[in-house]
Amino acid sequence: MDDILQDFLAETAERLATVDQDILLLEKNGQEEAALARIFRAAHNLKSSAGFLHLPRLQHLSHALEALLVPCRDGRLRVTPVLGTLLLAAFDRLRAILAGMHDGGAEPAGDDLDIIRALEQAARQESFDLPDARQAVEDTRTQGMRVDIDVLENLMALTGELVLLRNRLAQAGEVFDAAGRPVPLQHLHHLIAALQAEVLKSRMQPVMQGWRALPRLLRDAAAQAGKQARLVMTGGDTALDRLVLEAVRDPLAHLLRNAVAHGIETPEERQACGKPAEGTVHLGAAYTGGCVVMKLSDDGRGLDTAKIAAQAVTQGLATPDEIAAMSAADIWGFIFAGGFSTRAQADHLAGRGVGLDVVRAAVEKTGGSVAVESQEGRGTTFTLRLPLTLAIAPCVIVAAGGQHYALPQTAVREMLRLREDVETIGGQPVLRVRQHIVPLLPLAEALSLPKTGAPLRKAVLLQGARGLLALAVEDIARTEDIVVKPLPEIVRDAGCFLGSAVLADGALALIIDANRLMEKHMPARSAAIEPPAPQPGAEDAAESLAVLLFRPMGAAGVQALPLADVARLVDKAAARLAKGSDGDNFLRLEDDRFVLLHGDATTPPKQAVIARTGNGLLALGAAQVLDIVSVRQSALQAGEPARGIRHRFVWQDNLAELIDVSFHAPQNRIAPPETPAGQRVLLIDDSPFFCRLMRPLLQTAGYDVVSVESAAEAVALCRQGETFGAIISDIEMPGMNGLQLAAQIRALPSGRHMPLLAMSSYASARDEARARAAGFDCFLNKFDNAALMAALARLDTRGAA
Amino acid sequence: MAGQYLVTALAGARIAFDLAHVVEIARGSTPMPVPGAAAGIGGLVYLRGHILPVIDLAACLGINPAMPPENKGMNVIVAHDGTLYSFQVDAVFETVSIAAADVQPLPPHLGAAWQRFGGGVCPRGDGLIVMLDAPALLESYRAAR
Repeated sequence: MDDILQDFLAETAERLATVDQDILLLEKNGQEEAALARIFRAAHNLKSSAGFLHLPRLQHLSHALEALLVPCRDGRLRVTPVLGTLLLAAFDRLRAILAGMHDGGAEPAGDDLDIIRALEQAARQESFDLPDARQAVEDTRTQGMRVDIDVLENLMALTGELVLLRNRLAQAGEVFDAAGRPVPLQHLHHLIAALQAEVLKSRMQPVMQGWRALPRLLRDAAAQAGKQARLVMTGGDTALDRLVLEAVRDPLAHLLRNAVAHGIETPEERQACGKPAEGTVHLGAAYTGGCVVMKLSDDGRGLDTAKIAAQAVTQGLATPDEIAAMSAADIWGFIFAGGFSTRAQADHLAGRGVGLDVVRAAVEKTGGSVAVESQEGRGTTFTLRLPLTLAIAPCVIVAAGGQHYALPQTAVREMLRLREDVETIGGQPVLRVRQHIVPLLPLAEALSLPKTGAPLRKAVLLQGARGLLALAVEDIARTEDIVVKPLPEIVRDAGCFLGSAVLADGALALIIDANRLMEKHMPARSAAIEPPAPQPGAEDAAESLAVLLFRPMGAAGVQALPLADVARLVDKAAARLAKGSDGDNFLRLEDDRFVLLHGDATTPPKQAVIARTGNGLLALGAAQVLDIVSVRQSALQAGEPARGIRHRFVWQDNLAELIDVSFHAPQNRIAPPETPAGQRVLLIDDSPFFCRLMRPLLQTAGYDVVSVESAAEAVALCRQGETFGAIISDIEMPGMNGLQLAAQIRALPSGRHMPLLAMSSYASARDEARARAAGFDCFLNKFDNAALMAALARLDTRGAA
Repeated sequence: MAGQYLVTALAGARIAFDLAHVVEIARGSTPMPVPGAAAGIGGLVYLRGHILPVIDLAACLGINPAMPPENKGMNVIVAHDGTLYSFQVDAVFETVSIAAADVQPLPPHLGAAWQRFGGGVCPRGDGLIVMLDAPALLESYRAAR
């Protein structure tokens, strides 16, 4: 084909690549001048070039397009959705013609009278028939020279071999020439590293290339379903291996269609719950430690956990008892099961539930993983973790059973040292990693290797769709970029391996498929439970509650705490026992001291559970921490609130007590260094409007707000013994004013050191002086919220006087 | 059946490979085991840029290896259906020509595995050479999956 023609095709492709986005933008905003100008220029330039190159189809079609775009550009014609569809169809036809030219160099036979007529009618503001909908032609070919895929693959393979040889050389140390001088290998290393980087680049594409068709897809899907939705994309310039990107294009498209079919509600439903009529789907990509994370989230109705659970039972995927023991996150995992669908009939939009298991398989084939989370009524988020490239994988090299294995870094969250003693909860060995409790599995056991008896000193924390798993190994040797070689077919089914590699020392190693390993070995009920954001005492609004079970020290029976209230677990608690001057027992933990409930010097607790009360932390001494289970709300029986027992329930033939920690918390004189969650502030202002304004601001910062409209009420509260972290008051008020309030408060024993903040619309130096003289610690302008929050943070609002 | 054969030694027996399938002979090496692989697969070995599956011929044929494991023996690299495989043997002797007329059916006392993977026997000197049907052996793995 002609050079000139090739240039023309490449350049036109480039111009047309962004046209769809611009048309959608125009539909939305009507008068987007820049977008309109771009579209017009695209049609205009195409017309000129096509004329010059004697390409009649392109010429006539683009001429008609241009004619329609002139009144649009002049503001005489608005781009309505109907007009937008016509424009999209016209550009699709152009792309189809261009695509047909790539092979022969000549325009494919045919005419475009249908579209041209519609364009002309539209230009004359007459009604027109939309031509048959055509599939948008995807032109993802980037500008440049076309190279055979095989050539690129060979280049990659050769470079890989070079890298291996380079690694071996690096290990060999110095190399000497015939004269005995050391050969400078450094430059060789640099060249090879640079070569590898460049060849890798040839495989990388910005993810936007794969996302191009998605806004249009969402728009069409929504229109078909009678809904409204738009796609917001971020991180489109994140680069990813072409092959990986190719592999996730269809999964992303399906997830989008699902979002429309199952997630986004109709405009009426949305408005009824206070949402905007148009749904929003966010698609974002970002690098995180060696892999690319893509998140697709909608603001629709979220996953219906009950319905999914019911469907799982109907399809025989789980028994009702198993469901009862599962957390919401476990239940959501069922949507990836083959043939799963909560729709009674398939609709052609989202299909017969054949989608999500295919999505997961496609993603996992690249070595990545997909997970889902949801909030009822708020929306659903799918998170895809993808390897940067399939060719070279950064791995962690570990030793188990006397052999080395490679773990892809995409799956590795952290590397840990193991202590001598392994803890178990409910018979399952576990590891405590900050606030997570994670199942611990020796790699040698997972691979059924013969026991060598070597001690397991280290562990690798794996992250997968099911949660976290800690893999115990004999040693973590190093991290290494390895060239992934697929396994020979004869061993492909062997175990959980995704390939093999030659390590820098020349030895072979198998690359572990972390996803498959985790699928195989993690218990169905995920023991790695991440406590939700701290909400003291707030119960899970969903149907079941995650609780921690333990035997309290010095008391009979089994007690339980909502897992959300558990801050941490402490072992060897007996060693941390201390006694306060007032006779209270304390637990010492680094710089903190916690009042200890259950257990004392004569019956020292073995372990302790640090629990959150309404306004602090408390240590509960335990003889044994038993297990973490999910309890259905329906299984919770009446308790005895007067004794601090919220509920009772049956667990393994025991009657367990779900306790209310706040009930047991003495007034903590030593408040632990915590964020002000649960700190109370008293707000005094005679304007209810002002109180309404300030309340959410303070609550978001974690304060509990009590507001009163008169200073007299405030003083009465304080006299009654109510304590607050701070008092925020207006100055000018009817009846008792702020200055008098301050005097009264300071006169009370509890008020002597109470932080007092004045907020006033009068902010002269004299007003400030008077306020401070009256006892205020701080004088702020009434609507200066930033200053208020800063002042609150500065003042020690912890504890009462 | 007739043709050129490579005669090797394995646990006292003499096993001949059809030269048409043999790509190369290499010094033996300890394969890296693949946990969970099918029986008879010794693991993987890295040879001149290729990662090859290793067939533990002794295990396949159900014979106890005569040589201690430290003696790594030899690898006969066989090509089948576009993939290379490495067969572990104790030693490699010579190539011989075998005429169709020399080939006799397998003696019935040989075990089931021999029956499946042996193409026939050929008397040589004071013993028998068993002709290995390598493709059949390799295909049996595919069928098993």
